[in-house]
Amino acid sequence: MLVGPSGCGKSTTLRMIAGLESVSGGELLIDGVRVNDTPPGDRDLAMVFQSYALYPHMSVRDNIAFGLRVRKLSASDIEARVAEAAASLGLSSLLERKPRQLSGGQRQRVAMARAIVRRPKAFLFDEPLSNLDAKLRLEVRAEIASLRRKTGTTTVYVTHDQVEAMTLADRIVVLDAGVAQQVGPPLELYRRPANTFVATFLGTPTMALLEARAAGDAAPAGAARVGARPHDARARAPSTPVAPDAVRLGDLDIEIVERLGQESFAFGRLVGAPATAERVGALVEDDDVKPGVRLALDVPRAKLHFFDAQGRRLG
Amino acid sequence: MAERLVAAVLVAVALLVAPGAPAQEPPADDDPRPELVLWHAYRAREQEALERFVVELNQRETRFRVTVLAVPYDAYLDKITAAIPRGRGPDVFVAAHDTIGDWAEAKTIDTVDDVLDPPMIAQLQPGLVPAVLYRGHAWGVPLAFKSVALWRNTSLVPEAPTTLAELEAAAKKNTGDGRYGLVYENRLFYFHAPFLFGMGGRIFDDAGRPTLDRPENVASVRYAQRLAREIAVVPQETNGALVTSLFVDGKAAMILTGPWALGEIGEGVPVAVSPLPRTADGKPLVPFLSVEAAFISGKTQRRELAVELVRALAGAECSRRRLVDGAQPVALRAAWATLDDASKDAPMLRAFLAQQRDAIPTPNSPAMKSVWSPFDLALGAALGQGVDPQVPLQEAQAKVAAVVQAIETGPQTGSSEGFAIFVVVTALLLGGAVVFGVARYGPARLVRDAAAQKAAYLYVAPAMLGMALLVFVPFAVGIGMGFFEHTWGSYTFVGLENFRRILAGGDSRFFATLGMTVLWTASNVVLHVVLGVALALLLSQARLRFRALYRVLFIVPWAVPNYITALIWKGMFHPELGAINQALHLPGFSWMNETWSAFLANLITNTWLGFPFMMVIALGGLTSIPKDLYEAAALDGASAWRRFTSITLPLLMPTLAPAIVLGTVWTFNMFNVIYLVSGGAPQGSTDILITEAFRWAFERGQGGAFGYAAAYSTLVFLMLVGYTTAANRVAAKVAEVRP
Amino acid sequence: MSARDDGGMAGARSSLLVGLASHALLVAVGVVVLYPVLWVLRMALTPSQSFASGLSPIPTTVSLQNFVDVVGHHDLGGRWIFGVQLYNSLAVSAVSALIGVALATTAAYAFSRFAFPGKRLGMGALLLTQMFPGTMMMIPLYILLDELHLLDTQLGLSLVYATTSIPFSTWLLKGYFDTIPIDLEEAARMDGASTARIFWSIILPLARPAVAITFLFSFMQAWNEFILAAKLMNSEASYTLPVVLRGFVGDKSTAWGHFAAGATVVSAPVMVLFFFLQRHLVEGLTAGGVKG
Repeated sequence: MLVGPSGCGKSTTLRMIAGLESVSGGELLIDGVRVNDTPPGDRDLAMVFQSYALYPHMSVRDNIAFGLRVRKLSASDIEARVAEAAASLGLSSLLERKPRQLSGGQRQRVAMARAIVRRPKAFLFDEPLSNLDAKLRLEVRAEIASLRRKTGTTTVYVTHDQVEAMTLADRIVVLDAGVAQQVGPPLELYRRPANTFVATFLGTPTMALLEARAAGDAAPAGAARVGARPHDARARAPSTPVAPDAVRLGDLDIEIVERLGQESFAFGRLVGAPATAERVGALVEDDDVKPGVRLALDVPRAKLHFFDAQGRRLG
Repeated sequence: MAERLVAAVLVAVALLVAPGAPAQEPPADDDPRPELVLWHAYRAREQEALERFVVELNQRETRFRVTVLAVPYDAYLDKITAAIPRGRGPDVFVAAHDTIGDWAEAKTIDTVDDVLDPPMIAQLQPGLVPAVLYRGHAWGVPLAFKSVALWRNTSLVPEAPTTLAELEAAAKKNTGDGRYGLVYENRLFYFHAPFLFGMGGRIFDDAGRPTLDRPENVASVRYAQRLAREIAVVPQETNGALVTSLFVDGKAAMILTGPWALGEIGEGVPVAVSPLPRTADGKPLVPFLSVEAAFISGKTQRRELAVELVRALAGAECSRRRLVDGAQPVALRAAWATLDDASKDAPMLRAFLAQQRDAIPTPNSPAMKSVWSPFDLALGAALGQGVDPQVPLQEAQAKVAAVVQAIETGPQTGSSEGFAIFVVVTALLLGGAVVFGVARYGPARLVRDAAAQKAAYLYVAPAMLGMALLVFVPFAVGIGMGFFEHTWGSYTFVGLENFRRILAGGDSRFFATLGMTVLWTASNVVLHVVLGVALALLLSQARLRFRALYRVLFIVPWAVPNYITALIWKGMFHPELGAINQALHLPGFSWMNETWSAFLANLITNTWLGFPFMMVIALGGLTSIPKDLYEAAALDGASAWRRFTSITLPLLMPTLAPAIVLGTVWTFNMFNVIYLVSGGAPQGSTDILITEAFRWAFERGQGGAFGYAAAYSTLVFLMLVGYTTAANRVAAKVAEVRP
Repeated sequence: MSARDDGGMAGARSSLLVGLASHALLVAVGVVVLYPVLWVLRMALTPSQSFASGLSPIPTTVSLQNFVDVVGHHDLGGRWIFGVQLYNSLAVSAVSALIGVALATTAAYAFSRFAFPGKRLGMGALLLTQMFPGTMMMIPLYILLDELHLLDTQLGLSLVYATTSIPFSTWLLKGYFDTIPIDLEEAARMDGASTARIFWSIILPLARPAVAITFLFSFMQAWNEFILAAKLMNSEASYTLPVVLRGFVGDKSTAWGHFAAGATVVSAPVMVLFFFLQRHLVEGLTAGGVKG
C-alpha cells in the first residue's frame, strides 16, 4: 500500500512497477528478477486505473476478455475464465453491456474483473475508489478486501486516503517527495511514526507538533519537537490536576470545537504561541466547552512522540 | 450503423476494383503493327468524325495502327508541353497553329517541310499555309480552319447585313426589352480583331515590333465603344456561354462566333451564317484565322509512319468525314466538292469558307502570346469604364514591348559560377539548419531519445517516405525553379534576379496584388467565421426543429466541386442575364467593371463555398461549452449579448483558432474562385498572388515564365509560413482560456 | 449532437418569436445555399447545350436526354466507356483514400502519442505543404512519376492523391487521437497488447468518427480532382469522371447541358457520403479543439 500526499511520487512508483514509466536509476525487481526493461505486458501484473480505463467501444465481456485474447488463450478457456471472474464480482448479467451503460460502481467492478481474470502475479490499484461516492466507496473497499483474501495475490495499492490505507493494507509505504518515509504494518506506522512527516500524515485529526520543551523533563535528550495525537490528548479545565502518568503541555485558547457525536475535539493554540502557530487538538469530555475558554492540554507520557531537529523519531 | 455500411461498401469497392484495375486499354497483343499515338482536343461531332476515321484507318492500314486520345481542352496544351519532352507524348497531334512559335523553339514539334510540299500545298485552301510557317519552315499540315463570322436569327434579321451601317441598323431594331441586336465577346481581343484589322489596324509592324497603340487600333476600339456604349446594341459583358445562350433564347438577333458554337446553338432557332460586313469605305472586317494542323512530335520514334498518318489525316477521306460528319471547315479544297448543299450544315460551312478569304492567320510568334492579355485588359477598360482607348492601349503597348524586348535580347546568360555559389550556399544553409537543430537538442540526447522511440519512427515512416517522394521533392524543385529562368524548355540560372524583379515591382504588380490578397483573405475569413458562428448558434438552439435537415442543407456547398459552382456563380453575376441582378432589380449593373464590385462577387461566391466548414467547427465548439456557465451568468444578470461575448466567444476560440489559421492558408491560395468568377477583372485588379503566379506560368513569357512564377510562389509560401508561425503563437495563447 | 442551450442568445420568454425568426433566417440561408445547385440541375434537365439564364431555377422543359448522353456514353469500339471511367473514379478515389488514411492514421498516432526527436519538425513540415501553390509542383511531379514508371497508371494517380491528402488528414486525426485518454492505452499495455494491437483494437475503433471524416475528405479530394488526372492519364479508358466532365468545356464553347448532367452525376455520390457521415462531421473535425 503506497500512501502519500498528491505529487509525492506514489503513482509514479506504481507506474514504474507496472512498466508504464521507465526507471531512470536503480533496479526494479519482481520475484528477484530485474524487470527494468521488461515491457508491461510481460511483467504479469494487472492494474486497476483510477479512471477504470474501460475500453468504451467494447462490451463488458470483451473488456474482461481482452487481456486473455491478447495472450492467445483458447476461446473456451477465455469463456470460462470470464464467466468465473464476472460471477465472482456479480457482473454476470451485465456482460453484454457497454461501459457507458454501467453505474460507477459497476464500472469499478468491471475494472477489477479485468484484472483478476488474468490471474496475475500481482494487482496494481491506482486510487481505485477516488471516483466513487462515500457509500459506494465503503462497499467496494470491502469487495477489494475480500478479493485479496480469496485470491491471496500480492497487491500494490496507491491511495492518498489514509483510511483506505489503514483498512486494506498489510504493509504501508508512506511516500513524500519521491522518498519512502516509512515502511511497515499500518498500526506500527500509526503508533510509532518514524518521522514528523509520517506522524502528521497518518491519523485524523492530525497530530500536532510542539516545541519539545513544552514536555519539560519528559523530553529525552536531543528532542526538538513533541507530538501528540488528538485522540490521546485531553483538554481539561486548567484547575484539574495532572494525572501521574501524564504530561501537561500547556494551556490552550480554544477556538473550534468539533462534536462528532461519539466524541468531541477542541482545537486551539497554546497560550503564548504566535497566531501563526498550528492549532492543537484534544478530546474534551465536557460537552459544554465553547470556543473562547482556556483549557489545559494533558497527554499520557507513553503517548508522546519525540522527534529530533531533523524530524527523526527518538526512542 | 449507416457509417459501417458506407465503410463496408467503400472497402469492398476498393478491394474489388484495386487489383484488376485496367489502367490502359488492353494492348492488341496479336497486332504486329507498330503503334502511333494521336492526340486531339476535339469533342462532340468533330471528335466523332475524326475518331471514326481512325477506326476505319486501323482496319485497312497495314503499316501502323493508331491509338487516339481526346484530351480536355483545359489540360491539352499543358499536357503536350509536359509529355513530349519526356517522350511520353503522342507521335502526332492536332492543335491550332498559334502556339507553333513556342513549340518550334522548344523542339516540341518537328518541321514538316517534306510533307507540306508544293503538290500538297496546291490542294489546300489558299491562305492557310502561312499560318504554319515559322522561321522559314513549315511545322504543321493544315487540316481545318476556323474564324468568326456573323450568325443571325433569320426571323429577326432576314437579310444578312453587308455593311457596318446595315449591321447597326439591324442591331438597333432588335435591341431593347432585354434583347440585343449584336452579341459578341467584345472584351476579348480575339473577337475585337475583325474591327481592328478591318479599320486598317495592326498589332506588329513589318519588323515584328508591337504597335498596339496606333491610331487605327484606337479608332477600332472607339467603334467597339460606340456599339457597346453609345448606341448600346451590344451588351456590357459577355462570355462564350452567354453569347450562344442569348442567341438560343432569341434574345440576341446577331452574334459573332465561330463554327464551334454549332453544338450549343442546336436546332431551336432559325439561323443563318454570313461573312462579316464591310466598313464604310468598303473594306471587309478581318477576323483572326485559326488553322488547325497536324503536328509531328519532335520526339517521335516513328517519324516515317507519323508522316503517313499526317497524310491520311489531311487526305481526302478524312477531310470529307470531318467536313460532312464533323461540320468542320476543312483545308482540303477537293473535300468541299463532296459537301451536299442540301444538308443542314452546308450553308453555314460555306459561309465560313467565304469568310476565310478575308481572315488573317493569328501570328504564331512567341511574341503574340504576350499580346492577348494586355489587349483584353485595355478593351475591358475602354468598354467597361468608358475611358479613352488611347490610354489603356498605350499601357498595353508598353507591357507587350517590354516582353518582346526580353524575347529579342534572348535569355539571360547564366553564370555557372553563380550557380555553383547558389548550390554551395543552399547546401550550407541546409547543413547549418541540421547542425543547429541537432546541437540545440543535444547530439547525445538525440541519439538516446531517437533510439528509445524507434516505434514512433516506424509509424511515421510510411507517410513521411511517401510525402518525401511525391510532395517534398516536387516542392523543393518548385522552390528551386524560382532561381532559374525558363525559356522554351531550358532553364538558365539567374540567382535572385526573379525575386529582385518581383520585389522591385517593375513588370509586375506584386505589392498591389499582395494588398488585394490580404484584403481578400481577411474579409473571407471574417465572413466565414461570423456567418459560421451565427448559423451554429441558430442551429444549436435547444428546441429547434428540423435541425438535422438544416445541417445537411448547409453543407451542400462543401460537397459540390467548387469549379462547378464557381462557374454557376459567375453566370449569376452577369449584368443582364444573371439571377442576382434580376433579383436585386439592378439591370445592367456590371459587377466586373469596378474593382470593389468584382471583389464583392468573388467574396460572395467564396463565402458561399467557405462558411459550412466554419459552421461545422463552431457547432463542435459550442457542444463543448458547459451549460452551467450560462446558468451561472444568467444568475449574475448578464444579458444575452454579454453572455455571448464573455462566455461563448472566448470558449469557442480554442476550437476556432486552428480552423481559422488553416482557413486563412486555404483562402490565401484559393485559385478557382478568383480565376473562374472575376478572372482578375477589371484589369487584373482582383487577381490574388496565386492567380497572378498562374498567369506568369501559363499565360506569359517564352513557353511559360515558370521561374518567375516559382519565385512568386516561393514568396507566397514564405509569407504564409510567417503568418502561421505568428498565428500559432496567438492561437496557443487563446487556447489557454480553455476550462 | 444533443439538444442544448442556444449559446445564450435567446431566453425562454420570447421563445415563439425567436423560433419563428430562427426558422425564417435558416430557410433564407437554405434558399441561398441551394439556389446555385438548383441551377446545375436545371441545366442538366433542360434539353439544350446552352447556358441557362434567367431568375427561376425551375426548368421549363424537362428531359433526361443529357443524363442519357453522359451516362450512356459508349466509345467507338462499342464499350460502355462511362462505366469504365466511373469504375476508374471509384477505384482511384477509394484506393487513394484507403492508402491516405492508412498512412495518416499511423503517422498521426505517432505524432499524438510519442515524444520523439523530430516530432515538431515533422508536424511543421506537414503544415508547410499546405502553403506552397500546387501549380508549381506539377512539372517536377510529372517528371518524377515518369521516372518511377507511374505515369498513366491508376496506382500513380492514387499515390499522388494519397500523399497530398496526408497533411490535412494527419492534422485532423492527431487532434482526435489527442483526446483519447492515455489510460486506455496503458490498460491495454498492462493486458500485454503490443503497440500495433493497441493501435488496431483500441485507438482506431475509438477514433472512428475522425477516421470516417478523414476518409470522406480524402475520397472527395480524389473524386473531384481533374487537373492532375487529365495530365497524368493517357487513355480515355483510364480517365476519371472529372476529366470527362472537363472535356465538355471546349476552347470557345461548352456543352453546358452535358456538363451540368455530368456535374450532377459526379456530385451525387459525394453528397450521399456527406449525408451518411454528417453525424460524424462535427465530432470528427473538432474533437481536438473540444476536448484537447
